[in-house]
Amino acid sequence: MAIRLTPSQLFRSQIRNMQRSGIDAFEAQQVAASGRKFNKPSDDAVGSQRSVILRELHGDVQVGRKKMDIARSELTMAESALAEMTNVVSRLKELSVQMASEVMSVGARANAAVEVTALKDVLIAQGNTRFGEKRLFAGQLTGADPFDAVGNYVGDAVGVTVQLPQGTSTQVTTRGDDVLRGASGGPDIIQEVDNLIIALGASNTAGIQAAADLMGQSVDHVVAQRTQLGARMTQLDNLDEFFSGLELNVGAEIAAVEEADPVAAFTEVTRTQQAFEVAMQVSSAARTPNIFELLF
Amino acid sequence: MSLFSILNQGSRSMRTATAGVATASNNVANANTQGYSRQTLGVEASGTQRRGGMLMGQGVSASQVTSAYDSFSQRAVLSQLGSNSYSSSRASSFEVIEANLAEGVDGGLASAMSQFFDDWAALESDPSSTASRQQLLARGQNLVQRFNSSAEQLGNEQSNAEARVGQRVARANILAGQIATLNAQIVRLEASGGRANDLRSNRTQMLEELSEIGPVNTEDRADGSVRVFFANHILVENDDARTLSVAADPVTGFSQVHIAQGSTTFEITSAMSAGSLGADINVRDAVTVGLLSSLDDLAFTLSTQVNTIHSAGFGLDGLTGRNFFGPLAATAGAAQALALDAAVVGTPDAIAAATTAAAVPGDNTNAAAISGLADLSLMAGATQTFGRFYGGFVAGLGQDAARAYQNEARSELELSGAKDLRDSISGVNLEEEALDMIRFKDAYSASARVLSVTTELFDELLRIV
Repeated sequence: MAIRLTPSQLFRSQIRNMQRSGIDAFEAQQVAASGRKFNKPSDDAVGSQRSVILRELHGDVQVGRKKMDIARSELTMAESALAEMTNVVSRLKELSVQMASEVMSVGARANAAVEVTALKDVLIAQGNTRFGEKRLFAGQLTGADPFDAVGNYVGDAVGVTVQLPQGTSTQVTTRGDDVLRGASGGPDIIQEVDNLIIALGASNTAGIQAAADLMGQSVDHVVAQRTQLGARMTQLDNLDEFFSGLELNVGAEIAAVEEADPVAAFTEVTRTQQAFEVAMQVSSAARTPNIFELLF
Repeated sequence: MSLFSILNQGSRSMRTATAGVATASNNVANANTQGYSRQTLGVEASGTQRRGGMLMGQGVSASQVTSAYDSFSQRAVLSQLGSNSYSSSRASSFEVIEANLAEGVDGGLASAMSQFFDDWAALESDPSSTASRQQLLARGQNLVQRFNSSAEQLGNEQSNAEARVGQRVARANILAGQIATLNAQIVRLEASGGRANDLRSNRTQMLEELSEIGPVNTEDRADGSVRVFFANHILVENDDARTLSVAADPVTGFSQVHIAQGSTTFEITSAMSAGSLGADINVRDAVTVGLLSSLDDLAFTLSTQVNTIHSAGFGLDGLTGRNFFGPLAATAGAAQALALDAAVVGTPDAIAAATTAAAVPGDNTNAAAISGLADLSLMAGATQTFGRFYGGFVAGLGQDAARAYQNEARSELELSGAKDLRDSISGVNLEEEALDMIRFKDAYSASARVLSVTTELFDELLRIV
């Protein structure tokens, strides 16, 4: 401390103290009012960087969960269609077993052929199941029905896969030709139904019996397809559980990085305001009494 | 000794006391004047005369008014003024830049970038959805605007710094001219003895303002003038002020500072290590250039990578070869020039989500590939994702800004310390002045009393006669 004290020194000191206290009070008010620990990068450079990265991750997880929701809806719809196909193929097996019996008349078989034809139409309709405008058994050609009126497959051979966060993915569409046309080695159900219709029309017992045998395999094939689809849904459920937890954790981490503790923030506001008021009071009192007032 | 001699002594003593009060009064009046140094009245005995065989004193007289100016502490103040002005101007620029680039809750560039890639991911889920495509176009436009706006605001700060360079050089020339004029006046007045204290105080004030503009050094000369160096080149010598000038750099187009030395001019831009001029040059040539370069790099790489994949894909209309962003010619200026390509603006079907035309509309592989760009290390020599690179950009800005604010606070303290030291030597202390006034007032009263007593002696003498 210098021995000689001048008004300029005193003035500078008072101004500096008041400004520092004022800035502290202002910053404390900003934190309390915004609820954020930092409002610009320089308040907390590392926190700002972490905030950017965490928010990006949070966004990724949220979008991933939305994609999973959509995928789950599509798979649920496809699963319903496969369940209906299972019922149809089971009925076809039942009919073919009944009609293969020697006791069945030609008329009964002709009537059965009508029912089988109707059931084939149901199979085709299920193969053309939509989610919105998206055909779920069309591979990538989701804009048009994958099966024509007689059951020819006009979709493509590529299933649609959706990328999920953390490097995971899931297939959301099923190839209709795999399910109904045996494209990957299973039975060609549409062809078998056509054969059954012909055999019923001709009252061909041997043909009907052969169809009955194959229908059993068809039921197993459709059930296997449902099982695969169910496995995908289970995978989605597991992923969603994981990402739900991740979303919560990342959200909590963002809050920890960005959000101010309200109690601490308001305590700081009170403390800095008091300091500011003290600085102002000290400044107003510092030069009284004035020596000129005392001496002259 | 005669009574008349005593009367003369008393009279001289009263004049000296009056001068003392006047000096104190002048000090009190200038107690808060920047650059003012406390003045002191020199008082000395008026000599001795032989009277009746005795050596008798002749009373008192004022010799000269001296200033408590201390060149060492003043030089320290000039140096700290330059340093403080540099830190303070630089901190102000960072405040503007930070405010413009703040992310905040509503989201800035980081948020826009994240949403953009998220929308590609959403399109992957439903590549035939027109709503998803329209949202992607809107978010793409938002990303473009964020880049444009950030680059524009940085460019504005750069332009403002450039404009200030010219203004500060003009002000420095005015101050140099005034210092040269004061030099001439001081030399002329002091040539016949004495000290032109008030003119010196005025000159100190000018030097302090000049120090706030650029790096200044001074050298006191015996004739009372001061030699002023600006960025290590002589700016003022005696009554001659050299001229600072600006000339556009042929490459950057920005003003470079020159100083005339005779018929030659020297470029001193890189020597501007202090003062607000130095800060403006630093903000213009380093701070904003660095930030703009990072933004340009990010905009260029992001748009190029997206375009490369997008142009190879197919839209809902089955067409290919279209960019998503307008192609950029170079990295420099990319953030400012970034725009959506005309082929996709208002045409959601042109967004290429599919890799093959035959697989439209269900093929989402191109959308997935573009969405996946967010997770690839494509920045900083293929070591960082876009998000991490921008996070680093924000952290770097925050650290630089925080350092600038800390430097400002530290230099303010250092300046205050230097001023306190100077003022403790040459500042006006009101208590001292008050006591000086009492001292001279008492001397005046005593001298007046001497005159009164002498007059009484005269009266006694006259009564005898």
